[in-house]
Amino acid sequence: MTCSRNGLYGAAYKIIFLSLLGQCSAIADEKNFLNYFDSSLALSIEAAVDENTMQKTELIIMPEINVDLSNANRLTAIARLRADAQENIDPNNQTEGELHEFYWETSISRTLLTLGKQQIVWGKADGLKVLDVVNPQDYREFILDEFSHSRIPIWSLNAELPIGDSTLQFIWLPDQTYHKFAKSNGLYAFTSSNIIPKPPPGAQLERKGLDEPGNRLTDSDVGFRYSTFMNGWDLTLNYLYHYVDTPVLFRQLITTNEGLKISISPSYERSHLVGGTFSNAFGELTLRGEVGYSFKRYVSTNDSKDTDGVIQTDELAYVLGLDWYGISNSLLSVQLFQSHLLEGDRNLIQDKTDTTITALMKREFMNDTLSSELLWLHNLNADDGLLRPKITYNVNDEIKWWFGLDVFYGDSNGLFGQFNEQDRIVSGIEITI
Amino acid sequence: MKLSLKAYLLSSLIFTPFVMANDLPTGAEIAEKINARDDGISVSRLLTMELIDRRGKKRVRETRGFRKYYDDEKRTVIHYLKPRNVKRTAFMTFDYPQAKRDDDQWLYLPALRKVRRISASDRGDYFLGTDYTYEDIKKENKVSVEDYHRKTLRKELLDGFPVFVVESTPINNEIAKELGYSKVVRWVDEKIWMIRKSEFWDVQGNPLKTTYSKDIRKVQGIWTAHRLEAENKKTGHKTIFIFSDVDYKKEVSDDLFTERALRRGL
Repeated sequence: MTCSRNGLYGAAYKIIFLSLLGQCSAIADEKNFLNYFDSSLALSIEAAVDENTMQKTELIIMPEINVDLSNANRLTAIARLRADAQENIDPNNQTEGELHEFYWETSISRTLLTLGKQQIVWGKADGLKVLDVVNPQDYREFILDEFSHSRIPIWSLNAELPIGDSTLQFIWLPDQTYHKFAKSNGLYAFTSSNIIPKPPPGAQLERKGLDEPGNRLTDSDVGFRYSTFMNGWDLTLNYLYHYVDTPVLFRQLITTNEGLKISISPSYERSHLVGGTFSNAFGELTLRGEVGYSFKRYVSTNDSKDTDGVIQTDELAYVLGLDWYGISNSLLSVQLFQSHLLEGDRNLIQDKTDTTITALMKREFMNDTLSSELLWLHNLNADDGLLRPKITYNVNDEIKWWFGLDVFYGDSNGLFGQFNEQDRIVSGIEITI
Repeated sequence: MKLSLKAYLLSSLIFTPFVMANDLPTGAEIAEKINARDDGISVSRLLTMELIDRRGKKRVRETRGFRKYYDDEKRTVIHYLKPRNVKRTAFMTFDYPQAKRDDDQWLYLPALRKVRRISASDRGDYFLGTDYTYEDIKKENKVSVEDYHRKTLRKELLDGFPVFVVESTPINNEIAKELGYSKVVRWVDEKIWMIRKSEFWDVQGNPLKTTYSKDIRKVQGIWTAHRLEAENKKTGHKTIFIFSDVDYKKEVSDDLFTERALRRGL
């Protein structure tokens, strides 16, 4: 997939560099190029250990360069080099290097343009995704990695046009990169039967090649967001026509002389997502939420009579969040997430209505040099969840140290419970220069 | 003649203090003067924040801030430029003149890549690791008229400048809790109506912090404090704000006070 996109990447590089050429020559005439140039480096080492295994000893180096070409033009490049001394989380991919983000920000009149490999973040929810689906996600470590690290930047055009006090955003995403999941031999590979349909005992399983969209123009994603501020409310209306980043597992049952054979044909399929967000503050409380309606999503079924093993259904999902700032330098945040499939009763592998609640307690100490937090996610359907206590200490502006626990609980068929054996202690240090 | 001179001198000695006390402006009048001080329609400035703990360990942040009035509504935005661990953090507030209307505040956290709406009632919380509260940052050497009862204590010299000393107490316990202060005493310059020094007591009545406005000089005809200092008496932590490149005439675009500008940064 990476090789097939080289042409697109090359074209994007060329467009950005040619556009910048004029700006660069203007800068060369100025007295000191360094005035426009800013670079930094973040180096982090994180170790995670569970009862039996050193899950990871990971080194991440992220150099960043910002070049201010003029008041209205800036180039940002962030590389990412990762090396894991352990082979438990991603056994086949212990080292990797990439140009993580590379984008050019400019403005034409009042319209802001960002062109390049970037993250586009929608939504108001923390840690739960309804509208924050523009960029795919790296689930190699489930959801334990910070979203800003695990959200996969993609090549895209992002234009934000002011309309009065409001903003109309247009996004175009020709980059066909999708979620990355842990390999089957990785510690965080999905095993829950509520996610991966299980073949009947004795059946042969055949997995066909992944059917990926191939045309960068006709298969590109496109979206709009209208944002406004009205009577104290931050409001957005969102629309995204996209390929859902999780493949649909089309199933075929074949009776052979050796018995039942199940053929799985994974394929990415399109969906329309319409939704909106809101937020406002009321005294010590902030109310925020987002809602998304997806048309014709595919959901796997265990119904053996179903011809392709999937049904099509619309899905309504929403998150309601309340943040309470009643205690000094503290935040208590609770969220309710619910998704509801509007059709399909035939042995769906997941519940028609799925409900998750989250709670985050956070407090800053010592002029924000010491931070403590407890994040709790609990799924009401499977009665499983995840607890994440963490303390972070900023030794100084350059050095940050953290220590935390990731504690899963619940049944092995739950989204969180499937990792019940992976409870771990995590500690790390980050140095920025 | 001698008698009448003695009587005049005596009466002067007896009555002068009363006359002086009567001549002192009221706390409300002083607050009005402070808030009426010209601070421009808009301003652009660099702000270097030095955060120093009790052991002398210093953290330094460089920021660029903008402020603009829309009639009586004040909009402020601060973008963090350095160091990397806070770079692109941005804070924006809309301060409304109506006493009953809550201000609107937003914080952009680059780690989340999201603009977060934050409650304006957290105004007693300390602003991003400094010794100034969100309310202090928002008010910028001005004062909240509706939150305090005020009385003028005396007139004296502070560092050679004649100042009025004004004691302010929150109008009720709820406001005191919100602000984090049970009492504030301010030393207000009688000529330029700038607060030169403030002492704060916490809600339990213990001494909390002292703040100073220093290096006060005119920029484009507007009195401007170029150095603010705060020392927390409980923690020993200090904050020093150093303003530079202050420009009241530079055009400050309305687009700076939007969520998209907060996300994009400078």
